[in-house]
Amino acid sequence: MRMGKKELARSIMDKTFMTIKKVQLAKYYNTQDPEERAKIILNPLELLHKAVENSKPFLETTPIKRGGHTYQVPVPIRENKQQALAIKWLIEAGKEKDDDMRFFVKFGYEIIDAANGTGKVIKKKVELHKRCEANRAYAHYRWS
Amino acid sequence: MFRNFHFRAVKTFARPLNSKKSLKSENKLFCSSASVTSNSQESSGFFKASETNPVHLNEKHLGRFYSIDNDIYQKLYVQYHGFPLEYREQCKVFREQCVLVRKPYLDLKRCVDAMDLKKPVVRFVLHGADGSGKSMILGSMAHYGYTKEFILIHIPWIPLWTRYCKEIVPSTTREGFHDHTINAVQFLTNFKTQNAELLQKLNLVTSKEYQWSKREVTEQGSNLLAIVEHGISRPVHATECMYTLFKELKAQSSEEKCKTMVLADGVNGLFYDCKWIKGADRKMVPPSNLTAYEAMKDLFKTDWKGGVVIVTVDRIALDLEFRESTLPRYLLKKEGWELFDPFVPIEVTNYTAQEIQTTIDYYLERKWLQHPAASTEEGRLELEYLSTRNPRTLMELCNSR
Repeated sequence: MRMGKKELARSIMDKTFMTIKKVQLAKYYNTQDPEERAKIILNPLELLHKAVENSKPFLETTPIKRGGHTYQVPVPIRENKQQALAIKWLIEAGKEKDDDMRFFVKFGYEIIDAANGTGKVIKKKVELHKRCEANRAYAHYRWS
Repeated sequence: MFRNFHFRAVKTFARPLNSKKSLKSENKLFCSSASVTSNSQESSGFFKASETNPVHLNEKHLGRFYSIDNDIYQKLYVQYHGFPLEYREQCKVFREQCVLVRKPYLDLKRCVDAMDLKKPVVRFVLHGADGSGKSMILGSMAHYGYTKEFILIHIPWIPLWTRYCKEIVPSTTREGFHDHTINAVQFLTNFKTQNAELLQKLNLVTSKEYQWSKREVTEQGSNLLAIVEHGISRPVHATECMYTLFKELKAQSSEEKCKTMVLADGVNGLFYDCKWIKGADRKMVPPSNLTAYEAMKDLFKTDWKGGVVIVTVDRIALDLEFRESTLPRYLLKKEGWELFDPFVPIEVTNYTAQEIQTTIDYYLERKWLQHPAASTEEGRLELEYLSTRNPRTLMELCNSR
């Protein structure tokens, strides 16, 4: 929500949920196999929770200055910040340049991808974790 | 649990005496809810009537959904605004086209059946609150008219000609008048899709020669489809073709060569100034100077026989300044009232308690309502209360839940 415009935020989320339902129902009605149908999640709220859960990063790098050099030190993220980052990334992915698609349509697709473990947001999280892994040698600078 | 709720609600209503059929289909529910795989994409349950022919729909099917065959749906409704846009989008998702059978629809059907086609044309005006189902009833009358071999003149949504008009050009044949080109071509294409078979079968021919310009002529005695095709290929003459087609159909119906059903949604838009319709000098064109409006108003007069005129007046068809009331006298203004008076008014109200629960059942069966609390008793009552039983509000609520 920006500038306190809750009505706008609400209407965008309503349209997003409608798009998610349409996409998932199309997949659902396209298969007749009951096993595959059981795997498709139709509830948009459930998908959203799963998407946020999947895109939460648990480590990030922060600059710490020791002895005249600035090191990028991997550091754990608090629970609240994890969720905030996940949501922010999902929204940014929805806003990315695609002139034909409305925001709520692209946002819906990003949520579905993230819930499935694919897509831009998951990629961003994985790259962040790789950077942290690469810099693990500097981890002790957090306390020295 | 929701099954019990439905039975409790239904008991208070007068059940039809011949309830054998409904009992059988109730038993069907017990089977269908238990079965996991059903190969057909169609919905099944006690909210669904198995009748697909609109001629046979009667009080037995009141408050239940009937489905329109896919081929007929493609022919009559898909390209054009035959049904409202949100409904057509839902049909794409649900993979089927189901319409609720409501009392105003059955009343209208009975009136149309009882009409004497040898007498001057009767006008039916559907009115009611915003989003109460007028366009849906009008749309389903098109299906009925098609089955009963009426020629359909279906003007789906008049604001497409007023607020959202695509192109206005000065008329070549009438002094001071303006034509809609793209709108008229669209209308003629859809008229052709809806009525081509019937026109060929009835073999209706033009009564005189029509000269569109120095070199283009439609001869006397050629099939009416020739006028339609000329209009489609020459957008400049499209509105004139439309007007001539209407005059021809009126004359032919009066001579009992065919039956015509005129359906128009949002007719009150024709009588108001529209600031979006501008001439070449960027000044607003008044409604009295538009050929298309004249053509449509000509259709609604009572100077012909052998047909029926079904029309809706909708507050939403007008600009925001003119939305004080939903009643016909206010919406039609003096000019419209004089044109339409006398008419048969049919009020379309919000859903009854049974109808709204049936719609919720249908959404649940098609898996559109995903909220876990939606199928509980409290959830249903909440939806009913929040939507004030208005069909459109219910649809908007269910879109995101």
